[in-house]
Amino acid sequence: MTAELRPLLPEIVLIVAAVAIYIGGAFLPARGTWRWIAAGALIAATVLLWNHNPNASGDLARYVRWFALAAGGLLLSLGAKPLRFDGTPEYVGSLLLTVAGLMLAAGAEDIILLFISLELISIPTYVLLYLGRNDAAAQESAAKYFFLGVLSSAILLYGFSFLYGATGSSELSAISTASPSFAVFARLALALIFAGLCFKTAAVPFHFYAPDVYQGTTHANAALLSVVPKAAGFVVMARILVQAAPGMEPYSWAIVLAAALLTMTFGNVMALWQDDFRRLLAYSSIAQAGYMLLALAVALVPSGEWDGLGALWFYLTTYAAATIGAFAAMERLGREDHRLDAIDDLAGLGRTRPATAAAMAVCMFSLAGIPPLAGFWGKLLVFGGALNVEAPASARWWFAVAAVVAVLNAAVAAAYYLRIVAAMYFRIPLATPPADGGRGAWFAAVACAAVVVGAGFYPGPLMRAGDFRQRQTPRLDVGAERGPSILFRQEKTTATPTCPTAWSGGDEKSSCPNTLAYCLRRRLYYRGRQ
Amino acid sequence: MNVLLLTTLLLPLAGALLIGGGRSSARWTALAVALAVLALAVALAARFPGDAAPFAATDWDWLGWSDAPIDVRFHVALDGLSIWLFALTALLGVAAVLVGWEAIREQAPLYYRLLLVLETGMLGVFVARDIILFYIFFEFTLVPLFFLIGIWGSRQRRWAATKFFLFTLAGSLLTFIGLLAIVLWVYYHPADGTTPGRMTFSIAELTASLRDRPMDPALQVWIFAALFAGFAVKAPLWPLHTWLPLAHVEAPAAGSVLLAGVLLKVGVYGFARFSLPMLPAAAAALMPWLLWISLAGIIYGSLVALAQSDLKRLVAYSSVGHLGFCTLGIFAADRLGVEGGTLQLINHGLATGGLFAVVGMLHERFHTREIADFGGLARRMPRLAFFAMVFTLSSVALPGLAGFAGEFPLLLGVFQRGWAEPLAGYGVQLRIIAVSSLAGVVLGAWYMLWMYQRVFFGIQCWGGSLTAAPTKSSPLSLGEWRGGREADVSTTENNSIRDLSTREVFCLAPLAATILWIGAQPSFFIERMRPTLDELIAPVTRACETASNISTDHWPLTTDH
Repeated sequence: MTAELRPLLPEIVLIVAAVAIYIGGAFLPARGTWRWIAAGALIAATVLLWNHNPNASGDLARYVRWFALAAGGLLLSLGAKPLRFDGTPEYVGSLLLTVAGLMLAAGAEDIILLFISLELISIPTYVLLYLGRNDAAAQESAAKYFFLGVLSSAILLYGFSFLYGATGSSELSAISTASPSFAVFARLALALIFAGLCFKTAAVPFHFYAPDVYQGTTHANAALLSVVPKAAGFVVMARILVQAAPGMEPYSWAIVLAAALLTMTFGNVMALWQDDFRRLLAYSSIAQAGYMLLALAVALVPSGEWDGLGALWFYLTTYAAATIGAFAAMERLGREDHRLDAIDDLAGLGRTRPATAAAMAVCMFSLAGIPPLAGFWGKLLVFGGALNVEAPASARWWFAVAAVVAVLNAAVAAAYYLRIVAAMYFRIPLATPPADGGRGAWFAAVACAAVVVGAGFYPGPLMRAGDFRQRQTPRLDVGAERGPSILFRQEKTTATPTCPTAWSGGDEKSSCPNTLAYCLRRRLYYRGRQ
Repeated sequence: MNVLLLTTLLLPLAGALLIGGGRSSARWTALAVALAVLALAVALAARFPGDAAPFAATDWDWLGWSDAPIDVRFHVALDGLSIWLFALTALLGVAAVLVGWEAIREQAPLYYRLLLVLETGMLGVFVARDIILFYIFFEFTLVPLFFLIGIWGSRQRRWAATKFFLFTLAGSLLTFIGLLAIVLWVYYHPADGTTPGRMTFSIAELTASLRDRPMDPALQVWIFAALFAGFAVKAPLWPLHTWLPLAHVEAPAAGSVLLAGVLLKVGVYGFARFSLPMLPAAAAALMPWLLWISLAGIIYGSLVALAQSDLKRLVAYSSVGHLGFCTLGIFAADRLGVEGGTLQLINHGLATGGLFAVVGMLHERFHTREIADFGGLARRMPRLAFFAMVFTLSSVALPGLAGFAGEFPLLLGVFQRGWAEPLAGYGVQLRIIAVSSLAGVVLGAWYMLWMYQRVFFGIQCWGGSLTAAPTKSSPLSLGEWRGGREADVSTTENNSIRDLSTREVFCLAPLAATILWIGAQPSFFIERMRPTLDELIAPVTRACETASNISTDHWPLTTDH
């Protein structure tokens, strides 16, 4: 093995194991064996990642790879038992591939590889959706997800092609320093890429598939869909919008902020009327994507001490833990031939299954952002960041308004999370759920609840792991009008626009390249002076 | 000392984790923990020096990470504003455990666990000295109470629990934004005036910083409104009180005792801790509005209480009126008013907490809360009648009891604000408010004493000796009585009409004794609060003076500080 491939060993192990499981599964469809082999592959990947030289990949890549392995382990554990028919090898193989895809997406330095890693997530999920159930609803959900997924991939790829055309390179590092020759194309590229990724993150207006697909599939698949593609979408969004497209911020933050507000409001309001558990959590996952988009929007503008990306990773991780925990608790309550679907099925759970009810309640309160659980700290970081936006001046008011809208949304969201808790504790039990979903699901539920509680009481380590401010190359300055956030009136500084810091070495006219950002800023500046 | 405070704070939490087994062991464990907390709180209060410095402080780094974007700390301490509220919480904690001793039969271990968790949350609100820690405790108290109301409440418990939670949460999330805005403003306006320094969440540092460099008054009004959203729902002030009667009536007795006794105080505490000292210009500019709202709460709460036929609902609406008095005193921002208002918080906690306990005991015996169903109880239950009398008279501010010791300086303060040191341009309004608030005193005496008369005096309407229609008060209850309530009450008779047991006396006696103590020696309590309160209201007093010194037709918002 060559030295270049060594950092990729964890992904390679996962993919090799997945292929082996696919092939071997044709001959030996035993359920337990393949599950343990998949678990072994995840552990091997973890060990390899542990021994991996930390300098060989970026901080973000390292964080996301650990995140992917942890989520993969929990999802494997969650989906361990109730597979109705002998689809286990295909199921665990596809799961390993999506995990590998997420890990690759965080580390890929080339947009072609980035696209392939996203497809490595998408294609196995198409298979997974067919595996879980075989009734009409499942067929519908799989077909819906497939067609919309393919469409979004096409949009994304189209955006990548414009990005390549505008900058002349497919490498992210080259794109970030290139001076786009056609500004219109660069904008178009970012709009298309953002749209394609919005599908992955289930953000409005690309969210339409989520409720139907979640409702029509199993708990395990819904958990996977609400965590892995969403994480990949945000990772790629952050890498392209924040890291690879400097100078586009004045243009992109507004789109991201608008999408954030629409997404959270729509998701929260629609969730209020749902009676099906997975449909409700689908809308919840849409709404939660809205908060994460708000964090991303904060990351696109200077926000002082409060780091938008750090908030995004913290929020994503706590969201993932709470969501997997909720689905795992539901899975545990069912049986192979009896799945719990409706919120009414949870009535009286506090008496019939107190431990599962407690795990579910913890996850719900965390999603609602009630202190001292992990979700509260995520919301603190996101809202604080939004209030702390420093520039540009027009953005400050918008972000302050966005913080208030987000807060009101959080209050709306509490209504439907509480509905689940109230059903579990305040209602008379109708029937005792079988609670035969397997020890794996039980383990996943308890582990997720423990993460949520632990990160709530002691959030420092997780916050620190996702905070790369000190270690990452500084972002380019958005504008000359940088100042304290909007809440805090101070005299507006009107300095002439200067070169981006990266090139501010010499004489402005000669050494400053004609970047898009620079042109934009100059134009805005002179328009402002007239 | 700081170990003592930490132990007091965390002991209920540890107790909640320890509770297990059956009903009997759970309630005895809970009682032991609550008594230990009370003993520790009394020890702390006894050693409280009575100056403005933080007492028994503990300040720990929470995130364990030096370059964190946010420096949230686990910082707890006591001062004059919080010491008595802290002690009141510990006292009512014991009463809350005792009041549900027999009534709670289902899922008793969970009940006592939640009760103890709630006690930690309530103690934490008063001792937190970090703004985020305060908010965590502030919002966390909702969770155990949500379960207490929803699981052990009466008929409409599910709706009551949800409404209570959502109402309070919606308000407190806006408060959260306001608190964050305060932190960020201070961060961008550091002492040396050049570069943003360290982002502090310490309440003491923020207060000091805002005292030296107050915010732009227009901005203060915005942030004041954000804080107001949460604190006014919690308090509750008049238009935002609608969750309160429902939650109180549906909650189990212990829930009502703690809700009325402690949790309502949290809102007013927030005003005194954050709104007045940190946003003095807004507090001065909005003073007439805030006083009008408080007055509306007093009059409205009293009038609605007069119309109630349900005993618990009557006490619940009386809380709206009494809390209106507390905020009236505190928003008047006069020294006497604030002292009286803060003392009145304690008095209301004792008297109304006690009344809710009494209502719970009556409900346990008669399974009804309709005032019309009661009558002449004083003859058969003299001990219960005595305690109810103490609480009722303290509520109507009889001189010699605690209510008078709080209400008198409070009203003096409001009059002071109206006549001696009026806010420029609002003198007439403030005088009208001051005079009208006296109507609230009269109304309060009216509904309270009338309630007492109907329940404890008059014709006996229990047992077989029912000689007359139980009430003249409302035709509805008369109709109900004719429709067969007589039979209902008499079936539960004889064995259920018993006077207070020893357990119940132990539940009520400490509250009554404290009421007598405060009534006899209010200076003991006020002197220990005074230095802290003086420090807290100094900025707003100054802001009022500044507003008064300029010409009368000048809108105070435009004054520049």
